[in-house]
Amino acid sequence: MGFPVAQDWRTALAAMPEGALALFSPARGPLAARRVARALMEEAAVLGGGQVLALPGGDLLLGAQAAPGHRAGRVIAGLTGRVPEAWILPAGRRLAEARCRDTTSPEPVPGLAELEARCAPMAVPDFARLTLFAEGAGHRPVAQRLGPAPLGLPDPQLESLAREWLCRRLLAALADPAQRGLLPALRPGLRLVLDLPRGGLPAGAPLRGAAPDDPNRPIALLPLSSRADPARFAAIESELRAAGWAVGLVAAEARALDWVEAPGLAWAVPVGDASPRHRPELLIALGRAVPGWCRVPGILHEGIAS
Amino acid sequence: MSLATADLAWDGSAPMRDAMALATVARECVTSGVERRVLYLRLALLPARLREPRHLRMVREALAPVLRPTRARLYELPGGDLAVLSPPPGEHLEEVRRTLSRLMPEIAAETLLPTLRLPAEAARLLTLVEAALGLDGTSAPAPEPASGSPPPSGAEMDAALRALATSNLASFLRRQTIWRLASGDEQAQAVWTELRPHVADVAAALLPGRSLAGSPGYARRFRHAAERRMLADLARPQEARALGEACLPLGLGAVTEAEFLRLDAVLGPQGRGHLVVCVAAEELLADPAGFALVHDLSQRRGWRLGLDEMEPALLPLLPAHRLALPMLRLRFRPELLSGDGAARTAWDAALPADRSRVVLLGADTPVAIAWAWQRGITHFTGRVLEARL
Repeated sequence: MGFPVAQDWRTALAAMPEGALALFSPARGPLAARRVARALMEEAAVLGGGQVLALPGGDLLLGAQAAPGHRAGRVIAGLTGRVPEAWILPAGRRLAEARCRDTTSPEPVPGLAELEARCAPMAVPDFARLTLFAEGAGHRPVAQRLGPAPLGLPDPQLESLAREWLCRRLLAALADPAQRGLLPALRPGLRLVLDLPRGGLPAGAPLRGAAPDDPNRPIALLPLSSRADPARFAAIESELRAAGWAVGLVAAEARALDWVEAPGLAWAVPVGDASPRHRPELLIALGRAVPGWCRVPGILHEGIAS
Repeated sequence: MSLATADLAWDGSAPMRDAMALATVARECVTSGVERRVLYLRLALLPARLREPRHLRMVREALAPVLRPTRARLYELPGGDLAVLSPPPGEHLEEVRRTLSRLMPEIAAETLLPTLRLPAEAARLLTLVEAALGLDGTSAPAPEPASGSPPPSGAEMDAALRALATSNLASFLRRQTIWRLASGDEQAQAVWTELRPHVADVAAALLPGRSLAGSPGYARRFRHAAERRMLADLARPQEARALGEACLPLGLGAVTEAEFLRLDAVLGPQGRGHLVVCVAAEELLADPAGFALVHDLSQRRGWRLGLDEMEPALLPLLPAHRLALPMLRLRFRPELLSGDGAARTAWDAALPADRSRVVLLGADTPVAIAWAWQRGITHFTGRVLEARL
């Protein structure tokens, strides 16, 4: 561009007047949340006099007035669930500098071809993961979920593509006696929760469930996106039920429980402190931190005594 | 084609005139709330052996006693269908119906000799009239994109996306009006201007000889890139000031892109109050976490968020009492009229109680408008309204 302004962020930080604010939002989590945070910080920079600097590890807002920056920080925390760190200058200068310097830059977001290239050579033990669940107030495992471990990609579209590929490979491994040993060993006596791709079980898969009235029959988890085609979903659901499976949905957002009508289906969602308004018959609460409202009958959670 | 444009095919024949007159009566009953009864004889569907002149004479003779002493009127429709219109209670219509089913026991009176109540069943009557005019199903087959052309390679796709980022999309921008037309209104009023890039045309220009139809992942990325380009133009201050009451149908990804966030900032609190962003229901199901972020963002920032491209089949899945949004854009589909009673009840129950939030997309036939009016829906996009003005 016209003027090569190569201002070092340390110089900018040092030059801030007394009472100014430094607000740092690390480049973590979904890209969408990062971009929203950046836009709010830029607005605060306009309102409060200052600038937003893009550092390798995140965005740094330097605001001559602290109030707009604090407000932006609160809005960012409310929207994304991540509270940006804030320091009043010059007292917090040293801490701010250390924080900005030590945050490593995130991995670049892969393209479609790169993602395929990353997933293809992964061996079954690399991605297959077994999680144990207790029910209600208990700490003893009663259920086990077999599915692909999330890759932690910042783009939900890529993550769901990868889940789809890995689920298919996992199913193939489960159906093939030669590969079955590569999967984590299933514990006998625990109810099985199995992640399935959008299309459900492949035709002719020898994966039988249990009797339709068995309360411990295995649960097939389909991604919420599979409901976008109601006719196809109904066909997959009845096929699974006929084969002796209970059917559930897996989603990356607990509020989907409130929004989407899903009679007779179990749900697997990451849970937070707030309980959803609508409780399904069976909720599979994902996440190591188990909030108190999850310790009731009808909710499977990861709070296993080790 | 629709009844509104049917006069292009006007041949001056009596059956055509009668068909138009009957359609007008049906619409007027909806507008004014006047009650009428109709006995509709779907003679065009009878097998040939029951359509010989002697059969038709028999039908006429059975109808004659109704027509003479009462105020009933007979409409002769193209294709041989007959309709008898009478003020309520219309017991004599029932008598004729019984006589006819006695005379021709072979036919199913329920489907071939329906009695309809206007204005409640105006939509059904208009469907029958359209069928008689040979208009039904003509708009169904969508022009299939050249299925022979292969999908683009990754490199071609990358090149196209790069070209898209710097190209001028002005000629590919489609503006469509969302109209408000309540029953009894003289004229439709424009309420919002909907802006979207015409993705199929952009793709044809940038990826000649390639088809995105076979690869939804690529198609979504391409649409996303086209929307970003449009938003970059709209976010220029002079463009943003002129935006007015706008409705932007966007992908979930595009709403959290820098271009949209810049538009959001440039509009200011007042401009944001006039903006509606609509996200397809399918995208909510594909990325609920992204939708939650956008939902909260809309409430913080003061623009309105709606659900776009709601199909009737998805309606019971995302009922308005579960997810209350300021706008719901429902796509009109023939099954809204033809679906069984349980499905229709489920659809009605899933609509927001405040019907002013509903926009009916693809209101291309008067039947669609009649269906909407019966439910208090008064916002439309579609060819019927575009053609009238």
